[in-house]
Amino acid sequence: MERDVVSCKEARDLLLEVVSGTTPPDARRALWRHLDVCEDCRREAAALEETVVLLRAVPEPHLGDEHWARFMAGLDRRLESARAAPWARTPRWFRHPVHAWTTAAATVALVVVLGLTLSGRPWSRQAAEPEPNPLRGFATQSVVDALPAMDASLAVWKAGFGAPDVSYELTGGD
Amino acid sequence: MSTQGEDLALVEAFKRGEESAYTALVIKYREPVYRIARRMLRNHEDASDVAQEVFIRVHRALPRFAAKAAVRTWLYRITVNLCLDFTGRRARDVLTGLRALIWEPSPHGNPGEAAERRELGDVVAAAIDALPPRQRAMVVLRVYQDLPYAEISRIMGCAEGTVKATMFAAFGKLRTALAPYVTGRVE
Repeated sequence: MERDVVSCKEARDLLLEVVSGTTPPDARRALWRHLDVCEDCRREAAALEETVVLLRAVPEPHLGDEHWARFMAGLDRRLESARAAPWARTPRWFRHPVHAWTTAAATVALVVVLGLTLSGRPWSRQAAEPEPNPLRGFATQSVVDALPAMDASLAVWKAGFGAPDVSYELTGGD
Repeated sequence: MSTQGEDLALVEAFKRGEESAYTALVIKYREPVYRIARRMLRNHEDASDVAQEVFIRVHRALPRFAAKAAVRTWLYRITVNLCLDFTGRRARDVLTGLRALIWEPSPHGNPGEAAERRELGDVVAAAIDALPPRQRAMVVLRVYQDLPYAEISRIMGCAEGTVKATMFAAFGKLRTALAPYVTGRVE
């Protein structure tokens, strides 16, 4: 079914695509039908078409056989070196970076920091604050005094009542 | 056999170990790949370097090529991505700028005409160069390679609607930059 362009908005949407390159024939026909009856869009189409003509008027450089012979020879050399050394696969600008010294210095610094961290130097542990004991606030004097009795009770509980080698005598506390 | 069919046959031949199939692909696509790079980078040496890098990557990746996209789309995608990387690097390089543009004189035509074309070439080059890299890539693919919007969207890795909107924005800037040269005549 033949496409139809009704409004100027639709025409403007299609215009750039039609003017800038190959487009399906039905889209072109639909646009031409609109341009036949709309002078504003016709003016817009002319300006766009001129812009495209200007862009295409810039000459392409002439590339002779000599250029392509050099190109193929260079490509062969690069393929050979890529086969010979895996690191050579990296692009030229990566192998010869502009900021080579900065990159090298940053890499050395990173290696040093990583080395010190992984080797577990004592300064790194000393510098760390000791972990506070969460039970410190509950250890009042009466709790400390009761510890031996609690210890004995725990021994009895562990051994079971009636075990012969457990003393039932309380050694501390009230 | 269609172009896509021919390309796939070459890829299959290369996978079977025929190195000449790779050479045939290079010969078929070296010129459009170079021209895309040249239009995007505005420099012969950089464009040649990027074009060679494209084919080195193709050589490395061909054994794994799964024919999900057309060979041409895949090749142009590699080209555009390498050019965008290169442009990003060059933008940080203060030594490179518009003055480094090289326009080779045409071997034909008279000197006056050549000078005029060179001037127009400089204006158009400056207008295209002023576009953001992705807009520039889309304009190059559409205007100079005549690719359909659908293929441009696959090359650029975006929706077709994004290509339309980006082209619209790019042409707005190009029209402003080239306004003194556009008469606006209705034929």
